[in-house]
Amino acid sequence: MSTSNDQPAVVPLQTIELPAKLEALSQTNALLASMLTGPYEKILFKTQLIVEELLTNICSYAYDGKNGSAKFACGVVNFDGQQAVMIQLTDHGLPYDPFANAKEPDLEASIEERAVGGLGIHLIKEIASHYAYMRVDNCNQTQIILNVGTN
Amino acid sequence: MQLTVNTQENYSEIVIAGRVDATTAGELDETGAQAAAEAKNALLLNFSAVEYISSAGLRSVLKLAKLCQQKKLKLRCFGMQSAVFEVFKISGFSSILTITDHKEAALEHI
Repeated sequence: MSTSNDQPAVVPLQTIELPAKLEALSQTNALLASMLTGPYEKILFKTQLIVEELLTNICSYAYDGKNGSAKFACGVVNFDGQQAVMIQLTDHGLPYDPFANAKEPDLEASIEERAVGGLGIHLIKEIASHYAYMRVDNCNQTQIILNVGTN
Repeated sequence: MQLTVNTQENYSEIVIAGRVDATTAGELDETGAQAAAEAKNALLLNFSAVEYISSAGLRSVLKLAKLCQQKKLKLRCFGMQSAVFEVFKISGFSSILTITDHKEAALEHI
């Protein structure tokens, strides 16, 4: 997945370093709320949801219970001729492809049968316009594109 | 997130306000378990002031639904904003939980 280089970003990309801890959610939420205003406010909920699911995954799995960090980048870009929110999360933890490893939840199961948890990645796959995982320079990197127009 | 529990003769209602996310869902687990222990026929979850829910929040709601089933309590959700309802729909929860628009409908047949 690559973003077009010949068109300027609509909301310039911002990058922050975060501790791989749940408390970091308040930082990503605040940054997203400051960036996705006006015409982009309607996709703030979905963007925050996707970021939370990715970040909680990193907190749970990337560093095997030890302290670690994550890099978060977000902006509004032109992607395939359309405005889209671009999110990127990078950690330097254990190699882990969340999209390949997640078990699909059984959406037909009854309350009794339904497994608790495992919904985060399913939500991302359903909501995101595109998602990708790469292992680059000993880092896990996930990239999400969320089209503004169709959401 | 703010939680308020109203206990009535036949049912208890948890009014949930704000954001149900990975940092707050644990409170819903605790308050939900307490309210389920005290409720007589039904437990109502009032979502009308919920601005945001993630998979962590869904997890709490499912745990509560399982608990209510064990206790033979009816669990009724109502008042969801469309973005919140969409998350329930994508998760398949809208077909296993009773979700209504208004409280009046949630209180039918309890």
